[in-house]
Amino acid sequence: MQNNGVVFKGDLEGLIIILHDEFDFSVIKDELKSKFIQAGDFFDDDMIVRIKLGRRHLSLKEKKELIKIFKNQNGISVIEFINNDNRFVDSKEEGDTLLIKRTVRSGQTIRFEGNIVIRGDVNPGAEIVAGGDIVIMGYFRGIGHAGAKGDVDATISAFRLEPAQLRIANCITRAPDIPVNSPDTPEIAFLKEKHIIIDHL
Amino acid sequence: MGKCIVITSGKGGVGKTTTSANLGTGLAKLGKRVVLIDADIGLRNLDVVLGLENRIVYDIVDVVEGNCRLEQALIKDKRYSSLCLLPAAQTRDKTAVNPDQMKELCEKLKKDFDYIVIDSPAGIEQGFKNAIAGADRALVVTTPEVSAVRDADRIIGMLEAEGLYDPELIINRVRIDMMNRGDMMNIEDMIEILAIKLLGVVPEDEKIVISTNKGEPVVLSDSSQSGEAFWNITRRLEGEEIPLISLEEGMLDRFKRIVGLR
Repeated sequence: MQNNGVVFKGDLEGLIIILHDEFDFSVIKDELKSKFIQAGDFFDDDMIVRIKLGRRHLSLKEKKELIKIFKNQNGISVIEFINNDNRFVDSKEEGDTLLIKRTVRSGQTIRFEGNIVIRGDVNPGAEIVAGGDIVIMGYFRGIGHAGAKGDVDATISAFRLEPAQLRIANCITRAPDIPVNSPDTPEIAFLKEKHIIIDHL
Repeated sequence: MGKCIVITSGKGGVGKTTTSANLGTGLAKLGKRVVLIDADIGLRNLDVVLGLENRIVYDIVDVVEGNCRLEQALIKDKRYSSLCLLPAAQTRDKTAVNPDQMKELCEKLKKDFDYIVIDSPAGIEQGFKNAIAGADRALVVTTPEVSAVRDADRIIGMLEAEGLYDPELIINRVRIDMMNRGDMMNIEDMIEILAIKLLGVVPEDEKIVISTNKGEPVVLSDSSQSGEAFWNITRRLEGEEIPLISLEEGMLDRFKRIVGLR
């Protein structure tokens, strides 16, 4: 039962119950019930409860089911549902991302401290340098440097990965002299023990 | 108001001047008033390809510096009176003209001509910047070689940076036999990389050499494949929808050629 799909937190205003949005609604419901059983008579005074739903959207029926659980519990008076409408990951955690909506051509360089996403091709002679990851939604035939500030976990992925040269952190690799037939599938390059590995995405 | 078209490539020797001469002549053949500008100051060629070299008195630098009036420097073509050439200076270099002067020149010419065709020099330096300064539309010439395609890609990027979006592509010196054998980059691969509209494909043709040496643009001869290709490109420039000619020589054509009908 220790799913941690339900987390209780307190602050000055009252109780915050976080219902993690990755879990199934029925799992959340069961966990919530058992948590209340454990809590017993903890909720004695009139307590304001705020429920954080994350990205989960509840139907009216589901909301009523939750309210029913709360009503069975003594001491809880006001319930507020809080939806986190920001569907994107906090950019401070993952780093900012630059989106380029065009073909990057020979002689052009794209440099950015965070991640770079290119919706287009990167042609031979073009250079993409990112502090974070690089994602190319098209052909990647240029030079790519991910994790340019030393992030060894950075990756370079492309719908078609046919680069002249790949660099991740301080490691470097180049295309073989004899052209290989690269697969018609997306691929990802990442660093493993100081070697750049290319795998299916 | 006329339209100003620049013909450029980045790499040298891919056929910018030949293309300029043929498209300019072709447009004049369609009855348009055309002025060809040779922007390759110091290495002028367009006058030779058109067979007009011995008529040059004033050139583009003279116009810009005010040594003559614009009309004095324009050389009338031998074949079409609606075609003019503004030749480059041979004794100066690219720095003799700047982009602003070029822009002004194009604006002036637009009033009197339907088309201004600018033959750009190779490279990406000032000569190129001068050539594209006044242009409304750009044609990029390339050949089926990795180096030429790479340069074309660079040029397309630079054109876009200068606000000349949607340039169109002319693939020159195509040898269909080599392409079929896989010894030459094929057209689909080139378009896939460059990702711009294809305006036409010109086959490699020894008649080009002959016509260049004679100063007679090949577009005027009815019997050459390259001339036909340039003629089709000219008409596409004017907005006509013409399918790309099949470069594969059919059996019948080959037979006709052997017996001398073509």
